[in-house]
Amino acid sequence: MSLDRRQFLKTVSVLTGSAVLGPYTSALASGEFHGWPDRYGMLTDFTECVGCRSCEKACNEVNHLPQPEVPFDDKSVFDTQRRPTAHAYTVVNRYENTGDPGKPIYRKVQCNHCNEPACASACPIHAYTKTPEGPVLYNENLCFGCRYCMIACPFYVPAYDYASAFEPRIVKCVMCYDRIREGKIPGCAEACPTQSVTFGKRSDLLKLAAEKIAKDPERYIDHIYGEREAGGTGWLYISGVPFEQLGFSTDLPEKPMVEEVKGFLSSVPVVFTVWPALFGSIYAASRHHEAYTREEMQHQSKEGGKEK
Amino acid sequence: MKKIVFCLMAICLVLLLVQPLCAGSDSNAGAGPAAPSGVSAPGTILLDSLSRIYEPVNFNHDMHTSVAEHCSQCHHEHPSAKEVTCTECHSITATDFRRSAKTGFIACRSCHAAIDPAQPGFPGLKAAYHRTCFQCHRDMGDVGLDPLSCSMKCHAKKKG
Ligand code: SF4
Ligand code: SF4
Repeated sequence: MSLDRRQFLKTVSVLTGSAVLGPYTSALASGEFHGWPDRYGMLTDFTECVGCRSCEKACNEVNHLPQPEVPFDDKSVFDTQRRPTAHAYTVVNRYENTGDPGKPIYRKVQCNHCNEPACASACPIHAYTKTPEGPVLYNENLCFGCRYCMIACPFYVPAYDYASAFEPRIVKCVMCYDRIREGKIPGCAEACPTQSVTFGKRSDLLKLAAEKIAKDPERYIDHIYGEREAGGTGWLYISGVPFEQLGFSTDLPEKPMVEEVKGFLSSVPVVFTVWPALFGSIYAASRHHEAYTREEMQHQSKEGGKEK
Repeated sequence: MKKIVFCLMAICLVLLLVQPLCAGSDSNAGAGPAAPSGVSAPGTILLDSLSRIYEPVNFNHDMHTSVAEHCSQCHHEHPSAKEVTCTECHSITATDFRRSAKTGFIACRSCHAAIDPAQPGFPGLKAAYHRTCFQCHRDMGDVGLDPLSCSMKCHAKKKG
């Protein structure tokens, strides 16, 4: 799926000529993001998570989201793999543990707060912002519902609020930006009984993750997901099993997705220019067809008259 | 079997945390480890310092000492702990150390307090408790299979 999408983005970028972006694109292509070294991030340690869904519940509370149809302590939700929605900015999914079948593995899913977010690059009206604190925010008042961010995000995160058809609204986790500004920690990190979700400076979390892996190589696989994927993400992960077993895309480029999305973004003017032209010509063609049909009918009726 | 023992030890650690709170009995049931001289091991303890969502946990220390092999399976700073010294993981302050020498125990919460984002590797009180319990109770299947088990096995949900 992700390949298809990236393939699509690449194709669009080739078709529309991402070279238009010039030096901006090549500067971003380095894959190194040095901005805001003190920015915050999160580290999820899948070996500590017990699937209690306290993080989901806390997220629901701090974001004043509607009560879910299925209660937070109901394990039936684990029967399917869920994605974040407009009413659940984070969800916990269950995966089989091939090494130890008695201990399923749980994966909390939410926005990864990318270093160089593809969503922000794809948004034609700049409704997304990567903040110096780390969280990637969006401005729902600016959003006009084109959903480019949904297509661009390599992690399938932004969700669309279908409840408001006339007021389009894209929603996603914002790492509890307001709470961080108040000196608090994000709701999920506070609620987690095992600190499986840990909040801190991204640089500290990278060190912590590396220390944990080095200290207990039997417990962890030697990989910090998010350190480099898609140009690096604010949310990092460590695991006892290979990440592909937990549904992670492990074929993402290390270069920020921005680069590929920029090509997609450059198609935006095309959308605005080609579409009217396209619809215009369809309209013209149909008018022409109508006119032709009218003429034809007149012609036929004349001929019919003659025959009479 | 060893896992069960270890599990019980974990609970023992939790007990240590709240030790200053409780006026426990001297009983030390079973064949488990004994408290160091001059220190009385509590019988049961009410773990209530985190009871915002759940009711406090009524922790049976006696039962856990009866199955634990060593106090340090739960109490990593236990005076008789030979396996791990505190300083292997982190430094403790002089004040904490003096208190430890005097009472034989440091409450968990005197080091493990609220989560500190500046020390992301250091467990807050809630994580210190839960990780300790889970090192056995997860293997026992009490946690990690059903979110309902939080309130079924250990602490009932608060009403209202
Ligand atoms: S995970 Fe997706 S929505 Fe979140 S910052 Fe990255 S690109 Fe944007
Ligand atoms: S609160 Fe923590 S342990 Fe519970 S499901 Fe969420 S991440 Fe896992």
